[in-house]
Amino acid sequence: MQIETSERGGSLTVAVRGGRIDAACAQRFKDDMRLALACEPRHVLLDLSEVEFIDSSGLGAIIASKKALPQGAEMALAGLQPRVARVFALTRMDRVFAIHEAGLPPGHSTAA
Amino acid sequence: MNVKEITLPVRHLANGHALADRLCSTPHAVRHALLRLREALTAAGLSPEDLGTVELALAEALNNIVEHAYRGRADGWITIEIAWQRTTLRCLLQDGGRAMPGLRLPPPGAVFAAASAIEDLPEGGFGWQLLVALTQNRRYGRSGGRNHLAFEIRLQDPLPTFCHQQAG
Repeated sequence: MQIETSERGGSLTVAVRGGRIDAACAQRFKDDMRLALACEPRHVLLDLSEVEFIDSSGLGAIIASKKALPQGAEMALAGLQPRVARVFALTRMDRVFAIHEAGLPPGHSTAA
Repeated sequence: MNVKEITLPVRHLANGHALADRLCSTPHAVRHALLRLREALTAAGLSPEDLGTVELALAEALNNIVEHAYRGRADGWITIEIAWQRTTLRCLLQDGGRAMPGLRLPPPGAVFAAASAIEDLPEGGFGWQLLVALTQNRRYGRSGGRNHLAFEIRLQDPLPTFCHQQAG
């Protein structure tokens, strides 16, 4: 699991590379996100389109990242595969995050 | 303890099928066991939706054993036995770690209020909530210094009925 970031005008896009955010990598995800958020973005889009499996540890790590945002900043999620979306729905965390149903909104890309 | 990590081949029983797996008590071993079991259960004909349910339920149960029964000790053992027939898959997990507090399963637990302020959101505690949502007939026992956790999963896509292969 790795993350790739791109920043434009205070908006940060973070793409998770690798298929799992599980107990084996949740701490690393949290640490990597903390570094990525050091630029104090106003808005963060977390692109999960490559993630096919997430467990409660991974969910907790994403929530920890949201809590680490500067006051007033927002975090949205995009690209959730059905299994990943289900974890958010079963825990009702789908009501806590803005979730973009159809991939990345315009203007967000981590492509070089 | 040197645990040989392996998924044993599927056994065909009179009333269904079964397989077993064993692993040691680390998050990476859990990940690898889940990947092995996904492969074996895909070959057995489970639908992608049911595989998702089984993998997530097993992940939460196994993570709980690693984090709480063994408290991060890497030298513990865990065994998984899975048996299934047309519409039900049963799992039995055993480990040699510490007993569940009070020798009982935790209560189903409150679902976190969606309106909570972000700073009040929990970062943990979702594992048991997910296991309760995904499984039925959860039972826990302890004997001979071992924990036994059993649960069932109702398959959304029933498997073909078992048929005995005729020789010749």
